[in-house]
Amino acid sequence: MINVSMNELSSLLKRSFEGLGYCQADYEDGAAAIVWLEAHGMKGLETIASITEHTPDPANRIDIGAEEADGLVLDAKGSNVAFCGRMAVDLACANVSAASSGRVELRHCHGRKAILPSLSLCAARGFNAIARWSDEDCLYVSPIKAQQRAPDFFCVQRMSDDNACNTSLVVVCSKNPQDIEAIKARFLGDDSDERSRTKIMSVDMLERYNESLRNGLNVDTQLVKKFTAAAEAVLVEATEQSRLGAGESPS
Amino acid sequence: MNSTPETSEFVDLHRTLSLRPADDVMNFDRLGSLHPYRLSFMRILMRKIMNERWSIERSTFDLDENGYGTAVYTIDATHGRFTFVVFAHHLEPDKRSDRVIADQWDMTVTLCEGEVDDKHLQMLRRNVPLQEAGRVDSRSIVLSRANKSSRNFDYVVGELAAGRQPALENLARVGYLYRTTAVYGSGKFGMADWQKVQATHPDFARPFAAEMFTCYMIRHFSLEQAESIARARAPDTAVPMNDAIKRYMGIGNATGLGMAPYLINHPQLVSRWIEIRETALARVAKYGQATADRCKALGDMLAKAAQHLSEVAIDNELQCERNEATIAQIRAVSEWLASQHLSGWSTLLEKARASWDFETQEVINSLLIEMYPELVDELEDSLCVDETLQLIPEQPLSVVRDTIESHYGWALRIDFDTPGSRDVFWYRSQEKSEPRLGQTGVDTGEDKAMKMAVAYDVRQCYDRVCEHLAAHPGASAAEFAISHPEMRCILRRIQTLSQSVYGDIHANLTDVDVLPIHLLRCKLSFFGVSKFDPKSRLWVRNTMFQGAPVCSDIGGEFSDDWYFPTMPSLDEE
Repeated sequence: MINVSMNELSSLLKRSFEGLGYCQADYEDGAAAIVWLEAHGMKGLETIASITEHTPDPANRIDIGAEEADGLVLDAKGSNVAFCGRMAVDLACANVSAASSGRVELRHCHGRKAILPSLSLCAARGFNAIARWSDEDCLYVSPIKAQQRAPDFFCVQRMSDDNACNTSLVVVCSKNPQDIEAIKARFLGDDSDERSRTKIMSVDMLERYNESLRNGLNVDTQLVKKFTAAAEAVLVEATEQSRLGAGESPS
Repeated sequence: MNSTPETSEFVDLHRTLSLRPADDVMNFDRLGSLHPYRLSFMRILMRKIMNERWSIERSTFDLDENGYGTAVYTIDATHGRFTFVVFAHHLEPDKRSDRVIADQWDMTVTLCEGEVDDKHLQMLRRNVPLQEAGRVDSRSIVLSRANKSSRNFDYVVGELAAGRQPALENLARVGYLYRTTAVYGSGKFGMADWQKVQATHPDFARPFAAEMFTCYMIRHFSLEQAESIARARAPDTAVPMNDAIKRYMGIGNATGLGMAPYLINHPQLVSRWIEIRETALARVAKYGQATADRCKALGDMLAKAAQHLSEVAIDNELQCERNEATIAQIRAVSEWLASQHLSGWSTLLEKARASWDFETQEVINSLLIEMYPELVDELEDSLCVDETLQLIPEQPLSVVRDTIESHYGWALRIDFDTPGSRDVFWYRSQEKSEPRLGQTGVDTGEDKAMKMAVAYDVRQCYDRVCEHLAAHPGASAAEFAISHPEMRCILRRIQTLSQSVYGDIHANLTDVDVLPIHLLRCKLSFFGVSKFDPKSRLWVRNTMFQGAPVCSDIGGEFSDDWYFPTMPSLDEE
């Protein structure tokens, strides 16, 4: 393991993602999301551990799908939520009105935990929000209240009558905190304590953030090497000619 | 004088003031003409050190007769203890380079929180001399290095060893013993993140406060080291340096393109710094009365500024001409001032705008602000800002179009079809990721260009927005961002910065004639440096802390008048 600062990890990831071919907004959002998760103890790097093996396809960009009765559908075309989560939350916020909440379903995505940082940005703008997704075994629910700095995070055993989907995620934003409470209650159910696998409250995440702030982040050395290698792609070979582009040599 | 507003709520307050417009203030040439002023970071830092009576004590000074070894200083600031650690090395003259790509230095240093025990010191000894190639941890706040001024150091030591004081005329040419070549903070190489410093160390919770303090300590060590070598060389004849001369000794700095991307990557922060300067000026214009006494004081200050500029000894012809022109214009300002019965400073500001160059205008602005600490000093608490660039997803796209037209007219007026307008690109070299300039179509690396072309990106975004609106008149910003992902970044920059007073710097940084030193000077003026000495259009030498109190002054009287420092009169000592 190697100890790095948040700024250092952010800078490394931005350059790596840029080197891999992500556009500016994507590499900035992606780096911010992963650093946020790491700093809050939510293991962001593990969600992108194999990212350096793939090159993003510019033609494969996120699309607005058909508008369904209860909200918009986005096709993430296999993207990691670290890169497209903020856009989904932005769109959900844009569709909030005084009378109703904004709902966006993000399909064909992975790394769905990376929606958490976008929820906190959403809360900073005065919205209440909730994200939920599921896999074969579990349902994940993460609600946040307006102005709260980090969401709560619940992982509960999936009820047998749920439809599991390993690649979609639903975000709902609202000006009304009760809308979010109602969705949370509906999905977690009355027996959520018995089904609980993981429960991380906002205050725990913030405590972990403060610890990261004090002592930096311990991250896998091999992973850092992998990202460092990917980041090399943004650097230009040094030549005598290129040194002139940094100013003349001092006497 | 009109009553001074009592509220200190910065954002609300300045809205009642008449600030200069962005087209005027964010003009690239004007930003390249800024001078330090009383809210520059070094000035703020010195006020804190002196008014709060920080204690700076040497706890280790383990140097050999040549001044090589280790020194440790303990700093007791108002809210905590810090440790400044210096490693002084032998360096072959041919290894001495201002360039960031150097790998050896005369002095390497770090500023740490708390105390440094032996184990920590050993770790620092292994890593700090390596600089970028080493690793420190979050106990370190700043990492830096400096090289001796080959012209000055030996001369000063020789004079002190011989029992003489160095001649002021020599020091006026080069007013420092060492030059810093990089000052790192904000989490680089494992150091503490800025958020940590801001949250846990109120003594340094302002932009670049810890970095400026590190430079101040480098200056302090440089003086102690020179005296120590002189004593070792000639114990019977050596004398300590006169305190007035010590104050006149600053710390040199060489700054290159590495500083430029910061201004583009932190637009809200830069906008806020400019806004504070302009708010200070607007307060003076509104509340400061131009009495006969004040006019006389301003005349004296102008004479000091002219004296300062006349003592600047540099090789750069263009800057020399600018300094000479400014000196001549300052004389004209003084004469004009003496012939007037001003009703307020606005008259002077209008006259300056109509009659004199940017450099002279900005000298006047710095001096006017200098006269009214009671009106401006509280603004130093508003230098930080939230730097998140936020999309406003629900905003109608037609409003985005209007916003670009109203806030980015300067960018839309640039004709990117004109030859030369896109002839330069910025890139990072494999050598320590150093930012460099390349010529389009000539140099390699265009495909890896850094995102510095804000003006061009705005133009592209505007064109795409207009096209999108033609097809989808009711579209929102979010819908546009999804259909144009490559525009999402510039879109949120535009939306966020249009809510600030000053927004982006008005410059086409891809123009063949771009002068990056304007960016450097702008930032350096906010740091508080003086004696700008451009070595090319890409890098500049300058002097920090010249005229500032030395450590032995702490606890004594502090008049806070070290702006535009001039050669001291030794008779005063």
